[in-house]
Amino acid sequence: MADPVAAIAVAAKFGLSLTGLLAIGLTLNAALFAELRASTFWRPMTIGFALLAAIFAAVGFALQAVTLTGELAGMADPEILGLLWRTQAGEALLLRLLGFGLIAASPLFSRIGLVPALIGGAMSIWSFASVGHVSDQPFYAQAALSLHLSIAAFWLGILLPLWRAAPAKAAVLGRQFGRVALWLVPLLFVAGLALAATLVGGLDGLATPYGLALLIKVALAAILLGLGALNKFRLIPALDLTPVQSKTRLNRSLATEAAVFCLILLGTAWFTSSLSPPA
Amino acid sequence: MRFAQVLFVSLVFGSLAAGLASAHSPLRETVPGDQAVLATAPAAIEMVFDDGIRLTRVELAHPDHGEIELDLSGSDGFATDYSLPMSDLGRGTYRVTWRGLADDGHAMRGAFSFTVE
Repeated sequence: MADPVAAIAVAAKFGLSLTGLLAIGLTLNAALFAELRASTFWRPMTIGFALLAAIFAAVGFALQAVTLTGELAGMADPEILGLLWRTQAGEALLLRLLGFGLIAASPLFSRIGLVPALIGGAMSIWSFASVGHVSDQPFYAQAALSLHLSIAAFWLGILLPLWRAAPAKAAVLGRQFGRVALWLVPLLFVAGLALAATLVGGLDGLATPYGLALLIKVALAAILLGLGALNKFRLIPALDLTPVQSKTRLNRSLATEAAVFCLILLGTAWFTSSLSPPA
Repeated sequence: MRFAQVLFVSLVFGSLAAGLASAHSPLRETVPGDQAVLATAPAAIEMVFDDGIRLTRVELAHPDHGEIELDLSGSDGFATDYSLPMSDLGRGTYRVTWRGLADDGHAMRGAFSFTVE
């Protein structure tokens, strides 16, 4: 039977992962590429996503209190909120509020550049490893999840700037990103597979609902890989020859990539809330 | 703006699709068992969880008596085994709904039922 609280909780988890990874990814890309830092839109966009992520984190925490009591009033129950606060859920919320807060407040520390925002990003990434199924796994699994999420954020974070940039700027930014991504994207898959092997435990584990959900995620990630390769090897180089037509094609590809990313994050929000890993 | 549209549609889709989601249950065993048929009502309901959990609300529903919240004052902190006293409400199907916090911070819930003939 449909449970509205569970549905809203999954939507909040999805919103947190999407806006959080966008905020972190935009920060990482801005730290690496001067072309992006020179644009007018990256900072307000990053601040907006960081604030949204902090709101989603707080909503997700409050919804846990509703699940625990079965009543909306649970959101304001000091005993239940205190109980949650003392667990890993509280630790994760604190890391997220501080982390996304640092990203949102980064213009205040403009003298030291993006260092506070990067520290904020690292805290937010770690918050995902400190709670949930990975939190009781060995340290290397938590490190693998952090690496996996950081690279996913980096990838997701370039889509919007590429989409918004004029053809000439998109060509420069796309080439710069492609050179770094060539090294990082294989690491994303290695870290993801290492993590999956730890959680699933072996080939038998793939036949479980959790294992099947992971396989679907890998299939969607393979589509992303194909789109990324298409952008790097065909659409970005074509921007020099036919800027207008190629930019339209690139934007179509970027929108498809964004949609696949959303499917992956939505699926992950759902199956990590509903299914237990077999291992 | 297409990116914003993707985000919005995904959130709406997420809310609808996830309506089927339910928090995963770590409940290993109950006495009486799920779907058990008994001659007399038990004096207590026992629940055994795989990992430590802090129960926050347990309700007993009976067709003639509605929902009754069971007393959790005797259980404090995280535990794997719970024994909660219950009243004999007569014949009928009893449904036990529980909610609790796992020690990894997950909010959990679940339900089971038994019949007294």
